[in-house]
Amino acid sequence: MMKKVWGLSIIALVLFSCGTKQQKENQETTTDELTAISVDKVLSNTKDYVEKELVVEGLVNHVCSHSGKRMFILGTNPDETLRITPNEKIGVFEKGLEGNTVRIKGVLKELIIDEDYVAQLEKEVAEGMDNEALHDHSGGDHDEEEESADDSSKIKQIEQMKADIAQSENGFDAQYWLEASEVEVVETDPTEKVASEEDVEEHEHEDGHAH
Amino acid sequence: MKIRKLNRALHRDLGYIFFAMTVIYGLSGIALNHINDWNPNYVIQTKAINIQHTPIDHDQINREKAIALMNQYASGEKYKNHYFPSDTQLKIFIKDGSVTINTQTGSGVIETSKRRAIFHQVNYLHYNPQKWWTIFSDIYAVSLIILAMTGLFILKGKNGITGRGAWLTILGAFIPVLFLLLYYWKIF
Repeated sequence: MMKKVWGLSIIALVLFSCGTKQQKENQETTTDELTAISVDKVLSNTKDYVEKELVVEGLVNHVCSHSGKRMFILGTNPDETLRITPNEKIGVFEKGLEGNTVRIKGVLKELIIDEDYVAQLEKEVAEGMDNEALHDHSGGDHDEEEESADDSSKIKQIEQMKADIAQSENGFDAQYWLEASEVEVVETDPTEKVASEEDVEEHEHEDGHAH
Repeated sequence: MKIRKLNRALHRDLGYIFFAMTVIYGLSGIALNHINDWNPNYVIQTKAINIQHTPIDHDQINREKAIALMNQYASGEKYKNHYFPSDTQLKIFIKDGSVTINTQTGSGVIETSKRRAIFHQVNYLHYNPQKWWTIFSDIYAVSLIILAMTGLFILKGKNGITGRGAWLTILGAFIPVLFLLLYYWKIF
């Protein structure tokens, strides 16, 4: 009887230790059916893509290491990033994805932030609750401390939201993120030049403004 | 008599079945309680470096130059990619980390991360990674309630729920109630 128990325990341990490897493999499934588009294109045409399935390609500059529930990929301008959240199938992102160019299949989500939403958010923060809207980090790279933001930094973020709403023409602001269903690591061309300031300047001149 | 026997059997078997789950959620609970103080998923190490030949012209940095720069300060690391987060910063991604350099002052930092043994796995599970896990952890949560209820009626007599057990149960319930009175309802 004890032999059976030990046998089952060893099998369970092996399965448990393989869990993260299996998860990594899940993240490397194919995204062949759709043509990959750039982060810049998504960010400049967000309204066109809301609730649509798309494939976006970009360099992972950060994975939230506390939870693995958020990842950021870079546009041409490093100040502009697209937030990626995992769907139920993926679960979490591994920190090892940082520095890889990835092709992500997912659905673009929109969150409208108006005065009512901010009022509700303030109430939630006062009650010690967390909210996905406070994890936007749209300024590109961010440090780990922001992941476990304390109340004062959350209040600052809420104040910023209020300021953004006040400045907006429509009376609301919006956040966009991609809910990923598949993540594929792309092997990059070693001779390819990575985004430089020169590229950014050229991009700005073409569009007449920075994204 | 028969109900008490059933109660003991239920408490015993659920205890066995969910022993591992209790340890998993106990460990990850401690980890998440202190999320502001440490990173339960990764051991992150940083090392300050100082680049000699500065300022570095961003236009001069290509893959080969970035690798050469990385090899001076993080020899043996595997280069993955690089980019310029700002006018004064170069970030080189290496396997399991990054090298960030201020291209004007030469100051920089090498950051590497390694998965924290056991906590990485239990924390992964605590974040409900898959739908079936959510279902399983819901079953566990219901079972915990059953374990608590059946636990009250394991013993009879002076150490049972009619004696010492009652006082300890009241004490255990009083602590969260006190916390709610102080910080949630703020009646004091």
